[in-house]
Amino acid sequence: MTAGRVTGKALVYLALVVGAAFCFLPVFWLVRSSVMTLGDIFKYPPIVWPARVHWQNFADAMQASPFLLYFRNTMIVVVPNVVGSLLTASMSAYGLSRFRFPLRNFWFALVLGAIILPPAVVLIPQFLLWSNLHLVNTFLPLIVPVWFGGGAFNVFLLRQFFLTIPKDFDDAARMDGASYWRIYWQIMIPFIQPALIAVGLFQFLFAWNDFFSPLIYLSSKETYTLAIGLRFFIGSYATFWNNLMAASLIVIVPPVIVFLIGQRYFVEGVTLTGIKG
Amino acid sequence: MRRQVFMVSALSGALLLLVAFSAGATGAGEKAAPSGGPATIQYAYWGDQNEEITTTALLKTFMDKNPNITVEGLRFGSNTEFDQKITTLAAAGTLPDVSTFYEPNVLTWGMSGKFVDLTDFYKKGPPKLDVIKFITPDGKIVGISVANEIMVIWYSKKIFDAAGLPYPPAEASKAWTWDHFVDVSKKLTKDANGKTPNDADFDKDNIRTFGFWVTQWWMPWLTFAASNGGGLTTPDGKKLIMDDPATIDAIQKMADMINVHHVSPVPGSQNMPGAIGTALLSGQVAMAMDGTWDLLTLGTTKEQQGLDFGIGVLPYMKKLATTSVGTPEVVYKSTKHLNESLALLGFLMDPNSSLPLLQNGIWLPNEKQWYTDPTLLQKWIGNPRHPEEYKTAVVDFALNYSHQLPLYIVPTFAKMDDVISAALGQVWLGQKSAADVIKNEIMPKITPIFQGK
Amino acid sequence: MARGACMPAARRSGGPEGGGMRRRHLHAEALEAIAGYLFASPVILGLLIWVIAPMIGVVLISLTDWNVLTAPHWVGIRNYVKLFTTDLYFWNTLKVTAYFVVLNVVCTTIYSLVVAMLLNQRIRGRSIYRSIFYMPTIVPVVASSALWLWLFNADFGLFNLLLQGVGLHKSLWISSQTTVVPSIVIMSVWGGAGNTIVIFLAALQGVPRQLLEAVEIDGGNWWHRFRAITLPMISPVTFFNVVTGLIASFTIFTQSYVMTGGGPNNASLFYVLLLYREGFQRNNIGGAAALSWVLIVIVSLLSLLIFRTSRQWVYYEGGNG
Repeated sequence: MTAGRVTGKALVYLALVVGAAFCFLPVFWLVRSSVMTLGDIFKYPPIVWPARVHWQNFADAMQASPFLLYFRNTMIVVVPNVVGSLLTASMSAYGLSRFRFPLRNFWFALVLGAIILPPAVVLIPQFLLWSNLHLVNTFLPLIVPVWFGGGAFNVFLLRQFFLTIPKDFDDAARMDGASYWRIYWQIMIPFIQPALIAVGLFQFLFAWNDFFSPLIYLSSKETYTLAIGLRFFIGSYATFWNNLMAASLIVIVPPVIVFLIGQRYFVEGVTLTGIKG
Repeated sequence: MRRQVFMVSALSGALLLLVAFSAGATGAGEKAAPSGGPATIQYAYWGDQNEEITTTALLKTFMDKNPNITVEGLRFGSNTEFDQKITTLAAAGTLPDVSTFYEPNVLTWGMSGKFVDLTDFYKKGPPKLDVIKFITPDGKIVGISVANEIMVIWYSKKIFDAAGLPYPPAEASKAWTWDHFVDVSKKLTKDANGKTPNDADFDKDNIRTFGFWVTQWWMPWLTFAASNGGGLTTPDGKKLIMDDPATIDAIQKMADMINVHHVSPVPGSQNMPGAIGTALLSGQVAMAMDGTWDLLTLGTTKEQQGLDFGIGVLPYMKKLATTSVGTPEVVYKSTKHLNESLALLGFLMDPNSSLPLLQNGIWLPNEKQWYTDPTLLQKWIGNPRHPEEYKTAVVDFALNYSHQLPLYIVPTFAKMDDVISAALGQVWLGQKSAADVIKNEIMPKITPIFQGK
Repeated sequence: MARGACMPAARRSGGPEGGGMRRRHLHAEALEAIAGYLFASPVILGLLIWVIAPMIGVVLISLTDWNVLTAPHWVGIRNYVKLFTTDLYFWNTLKVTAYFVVLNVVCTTIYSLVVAMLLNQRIRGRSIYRSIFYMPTIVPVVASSALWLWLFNADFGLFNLLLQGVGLHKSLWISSQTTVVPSIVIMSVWGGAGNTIVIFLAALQGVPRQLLEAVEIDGGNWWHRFRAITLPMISPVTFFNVVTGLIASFTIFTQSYVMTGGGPNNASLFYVLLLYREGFQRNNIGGAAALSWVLIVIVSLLSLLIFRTSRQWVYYEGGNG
């Protein structure tokens, strides 16, 4: 019996280690290649870790491509993205969950429908709209839509959260003469704080890594975000792989930092997402 | 009540879209009215950081010489990225005045009347190479390549020295036959135990060095097809000869390098960026067939990493052949400043203007005299970046043996290539024979496309 | 629902007193409705502008032959007919996309559930493991695409080196028609399972211990526990993961765009890649719009189907039959 338990435990650990290795290996390979010279990267048998760490790659990558500029552009897109989605998604969810008005369920049904809509299918008309406004190659197409409800999924999620708050709070506040806005801002928001943090974190990740929208809307180097800048680092003629890996690492680091700091909220958030969903 | 609201919102949505949509459609080509006097034109191009620096400098020189013209440079990432962007610009009605263009689509756009007819322009000035003008079926020149590039053999001297074999010839008169080429490739291919495909115990699953790298896009096989007397179409672009035995044979020979002689890596490996340079440097490949544009990267790799490379003429199957391609320049009909745009075009097309790009190895000139006149030659190949053998292996080879690619004269090339590239994948992998795939899968599909159905 | 209970009473009374109360109720109702609309206005406007209007636009465009180069003309349903009859790529694209979607969802779900179960055991360093398993999800797809291109390289890539190192045969990975989709699935599971694992883990932790112990007492082993208790108890979460996984899988684009270009031989020419190519590289905007609408229909039908069948296998705690 005890022996069975021990082998069982051992198997669990073994499986976990194998799985973790699978997850970790590509990332490790990326890191290792980013600190080696070009000739060493492809040597066979492969060098696991270079004898001397070649930091020059990072300098070369930053010089070859204006990564600071890309970083700035990415922040220009990401920050309003997060703020806009938190604000408007929570507002919309609040409206859809705690008020009665005609067609409320109809709109909510549309929100559900919008969740399953693949973004690519409405791409062309949206693009036409922006180009007729002459706002292609600006950041607006990447920021503005998020201010209209902050993503159907976020609205759905936050609405589920709002539904769990007992109505007594609202009623008591109304009795005290509070306006709807004050209820929203001072009671509801604090209540759903964990969900908000989760939504914010996910929106950050999504906006940071988004490749498709910048690919469509951004045309010039001055406007590129990190995701696109990285893609063009691969270039049409040739690349130096060591620099490419260094550049990739530069792009990966901020989300990793955000993740490590906000890890607890991430997990909580994902959990809440799944459970309430 | 519900239905009414729905109808209203649907209608207003439709209205909104109709407005946007029709504005876009008719707006194609409308630009803000010029204010008169000094003109501002837009030049769009693709390229990496190096090209951006050089092009920006180029534009500045042009502006210095033409004080009343301002040129805005608009750079996109790669030629395929460019293709997508220019489509979106067209949809928005904000096309530039002059630009480079994605080669396979020049003719389709030209035939839709998007480009200015450059026939007169072409006739002015020193004679340009014949093989690099884009001609619509009704004889209009709608684009001209600003540069010329041909296919050559790049090789690693180190690997040849280690095997004790003579380098690939740099003169057309000494070019290898195909069979000799295969033979040399086999001698250079080594598995993990140092055995070559000629040895009985050769381990084809463990090859460390490949003799020759077969790449699978259209330029290599079109080149060898031309060398074998075949091709995609006849030189006048009027007839499909994809299923001509010469074409099939050429493709099969290339595929055999991979699957029968085991001297080439599996295709798909080429999707790796920076492939040629790193492959030669790390000793993975002894020879590769690729465009002359590689001189920039290989030259840099030589200077920074010590790669000792050489250039050779291509081997031939029945006759000596290489093919030419080059970044096209076009002028848009929608331009409001035609004269200024043509002035810019003239400036860009002048090899004197693009001297920096010629010197760093990424471009070859588009005018014949730059290949023959010794003074002019010295200007662009008289530098350390261009190896000794460049004159014979590239300049003379290009001048005398360059064949025109179908994309210069066949508008349906891009669509046909979608089919061909996909289907040939099976041939490169050795799953099916070239004859089988070409006759049974490719021809039935590309024939209606070619005929414009 | 205090308000709701209020209403009928107010309505029923017809006298002057009742009328006054009624007016006040109606006033409150109107206020509430206005406030509700105001709060919900961002998403409502958003739906109109970014969802409904474009969807209508897509239909309109799909009924034309617009190719950006010339003015569009109405052609009715010709684009759709072409798609289903003469198009060279459509049916193949449907097939390979469906193949990917099914394989990806199945693999991700099973992998995530297994990992979650492992993490649910009493082990040390659980949060470290959890972070490691979640890490790939943070890596931007563009960066990992370049990296995995190299890992998958048939001749010099790390994976084949490892395979050979343990004495196995090399694989062509993304260079062969037969292995390209499974390869992309592996990469997709690597990068996408993070969220699913965490959700499953939370669900597993919510399974009541008494039920599990009851099965143990009856002599059941872990498999019995799993089948009889765990699986049904987490079925709502499984359902959620499957649905979100399906929808996300349909939109696969970046990997094929960066790594394979749709090949070899169109074996990875996924739906969104084809749409992108038709619309933005072959100037066939009308056709791309038709493709868009067909995708909308497919995804909607699929979602509907799953929702309907969910009654069969999803157990909600309140019980639904």
